[in-house]
Amino acid sequence: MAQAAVSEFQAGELSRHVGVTLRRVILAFIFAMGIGVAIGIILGLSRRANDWFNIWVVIFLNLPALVVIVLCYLWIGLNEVAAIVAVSVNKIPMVTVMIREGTRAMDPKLADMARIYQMPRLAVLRHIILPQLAPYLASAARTGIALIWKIVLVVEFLGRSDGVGFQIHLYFQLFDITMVLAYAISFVIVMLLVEMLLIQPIETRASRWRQP
Amino acid sequence: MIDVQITAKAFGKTTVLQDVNFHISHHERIAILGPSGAGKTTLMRIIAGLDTDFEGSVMSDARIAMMFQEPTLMPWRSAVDNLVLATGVERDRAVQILTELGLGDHCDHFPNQMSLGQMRRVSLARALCTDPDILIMDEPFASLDMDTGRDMMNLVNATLSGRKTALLLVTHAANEADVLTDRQIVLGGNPATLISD
Repeated sequence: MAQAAVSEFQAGELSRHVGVTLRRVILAFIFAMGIGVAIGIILGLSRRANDWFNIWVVIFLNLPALVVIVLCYLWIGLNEVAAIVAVSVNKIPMVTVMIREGTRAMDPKLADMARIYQMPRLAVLRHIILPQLAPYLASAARTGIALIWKIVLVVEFLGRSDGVGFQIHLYFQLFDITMVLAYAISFVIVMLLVEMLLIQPIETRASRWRQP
Repeated sequence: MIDVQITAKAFGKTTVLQDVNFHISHHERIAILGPSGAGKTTLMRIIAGLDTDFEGSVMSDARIAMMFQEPTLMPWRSAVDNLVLATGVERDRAVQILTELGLGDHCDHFPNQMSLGQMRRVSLARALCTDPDILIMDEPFASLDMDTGRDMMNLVNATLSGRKTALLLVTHAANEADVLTDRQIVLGGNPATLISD
């Protein structure tokens, strides 16, 4: 398997397909985190917004990933936009729920303090809200990456002509288990590197104040 | 400076404050006394503008600062950053006030590196660095041991004596009111109202 992976790498195929998949993961991650965090904060702060929106969160949370992917391809077309939207829509409800719970768990006394000293809204977001949400953001990011790359592979499997998912589909049709594993494990290694080199250092930096 | 005219304040169907009317003038030092659950903190929140869901009015032209029951510091920021980021004061001024309150060596310490008494002093420094017209203190010496509480009380007394800042102290301890204030408002009854001023 390692030999197959090295051979694909030398031919330039492995890095090309891993690169394409990684780009889709990053785009879907940014999209899902941005929208999920914004909706989560709004639902956590406003009971009225939550009463109205909660049913949609539950629906999208329970909608099978396959249904979302197929519908996106049917409605938007077999293109890159549909792929990114399909992956993001699968992840947004999970981010929303995590951030909503984090927002509800925030210390109301700090909000009172910010009101008393008339802190500007941007400063409140940066120095009061986001630091309290940091553990929830880290958790959403970690589970987000894990879920997104799995769904990206399904999206590529079903409707793209490049990426690790497409290659797995190709070698699945050829019953080439070695190549399927070569692509799958190569991408797992890439995601482990993302976790160790990106997510863990950010999390450590964000929580350094907890060290006595 | 602050004119308090509260007709009623209720939580759901339970009225907790009724007909609470008094005036706070410049440089006055007032204590609001009463047993636990008398509505002292509710009254303080209304005066501070943190609770606007009541019948009546609070007219104020004062710049208000507040010390909460808990230090209420941003635990992810150093002592000096807690002053600078919350109030917008210059860093040099923040360091100067922290030093005045005996925290010169703790400016860069995070709250979890300080004792409760030190955190309370940071909270006091944060309140004072805005040069407020009135400082509202909600049970500021609660959960401090006797010595630290007495030291803190003396520090507040000494710090305020050199300023024109008025004081509104919310407490259930008569000795704190005696040391720090010269006018005492007592809340009592159910719903609570002023039983002496």
